[in-house]
Amino acid sequence: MTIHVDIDRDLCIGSGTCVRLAPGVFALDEEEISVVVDPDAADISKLRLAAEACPTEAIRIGAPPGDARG
Amino acid sequence: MPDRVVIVGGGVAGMRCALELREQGFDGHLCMLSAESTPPYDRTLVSKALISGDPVDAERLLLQSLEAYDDAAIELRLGVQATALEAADRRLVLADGSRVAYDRLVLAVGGEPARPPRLMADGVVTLRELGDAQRLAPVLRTVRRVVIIGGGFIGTEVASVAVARGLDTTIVDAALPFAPLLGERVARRICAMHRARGVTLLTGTPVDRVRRASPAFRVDLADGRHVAADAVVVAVGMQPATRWLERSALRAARGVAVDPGGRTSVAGVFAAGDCALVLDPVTGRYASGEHWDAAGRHGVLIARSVLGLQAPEPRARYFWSDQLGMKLQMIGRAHGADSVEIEEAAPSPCFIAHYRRRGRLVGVFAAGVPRAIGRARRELQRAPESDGNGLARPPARVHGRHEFAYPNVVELAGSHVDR
Repeated sequence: MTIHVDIDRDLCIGSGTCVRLAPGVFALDEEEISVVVDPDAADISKLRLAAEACPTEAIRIGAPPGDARG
Repeated sequence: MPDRVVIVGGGVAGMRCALELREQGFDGHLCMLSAESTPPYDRTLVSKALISGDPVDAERLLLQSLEAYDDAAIELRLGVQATALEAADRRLVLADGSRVAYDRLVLAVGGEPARPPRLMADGVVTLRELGDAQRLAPVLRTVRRVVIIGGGFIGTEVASVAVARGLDTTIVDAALPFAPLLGERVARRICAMHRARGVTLLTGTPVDRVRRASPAFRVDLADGRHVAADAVVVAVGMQPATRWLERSALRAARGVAVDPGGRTSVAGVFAAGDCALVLDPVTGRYASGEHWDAAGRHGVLIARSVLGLQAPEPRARYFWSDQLGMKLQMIGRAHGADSVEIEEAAPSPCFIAHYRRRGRLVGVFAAGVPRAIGRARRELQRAPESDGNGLARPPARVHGRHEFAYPNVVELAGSHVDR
């Protein structure tokens, strides 16, 4: 099951918190904005942690398509 | 490549430094010493969720799990206080009298809250550590009246939590909260937002002293008025936690001056985060960063420096505060701007402030408009603040040697430091 993880590029300031908290999932691109590299690289609890700890609330975690939760 | 790196301090600067050292291939001995008994944690929660009673589980609180330290071969020692530095012998002295040898030392001890004796009556609270928040949280559930001395980030965040709980909440500030950071116009907007939510905000009002009137307190204002309180929180600023370095070769009781690579005046010793005094290109003064994002980035920069690697690209500074039921955020600087333009946003009273210097955007402050920040970042990145405003650029780093770029900075720091 692939979790849908989305980063709002207009919110991200490149703090790198997500890269640290969910290793393998996120990376900073050449603009130092976070991108999702592999949403399955860490378990959902780490993804949620990254989303909560993000200083700009730029990360959204959604269930797979077909689920209304976001 | 050094063999032993010792990091003193268990905050975000030290943590990010340790992780970056490993990330960049340092495989020697790496030790982190923290005076706290909790492993390095997200200190920004101390004035937010940890006092509001929102659930915070260990996973969210800690910067990383204990297993992660083992995985990275980082020796984490908790409850360890550094008390002296024997720089000539490259040794740190601990409270128990033992010594820790290093090839490279990173001082990342952060700051401690200012505690003016006149204000610190028995029972008055300051906020820095997890324990402080754990003690304040139940108080904010049981008292009726709280007085917060100091309208900075900590003070206003505490006020937001208190007023949301229905407490009679007063902030007393000697000047205008946020004015030095954001300018008077934006500061007045934020003050109005606090008042609209029911906070009593006394600005331009120094406090003479706080008296205990058990079980309550009496806050005596300089103008002769008194304010009664069931709880008093003092949040009037911080100073680097470096008094123990006063007699060391650093002579750094009020903070450790560093060059752009985080090097101190002593070979092999670096300083990162709030305990470090960094030359501010805009003001021309040495000052402590005092922001979470900056501290973590500084830790990363110091790790590169320790290993003699290229520093990361400078980035526009960012800070945020959760208060007034929204996020207050800033990217870049207001200081040095010659104009500010305020744009209303929905829903009221959210707004965005654009700060410009000679027509060029130098900072954006957003109250409840997070999207404005990410967008501004791209524009600001094209002309980072490290360009300064005509001040001389620091000398280029000398590769491979610990060459401190400002040899006279110890004398300079004494006269130029902001606090």
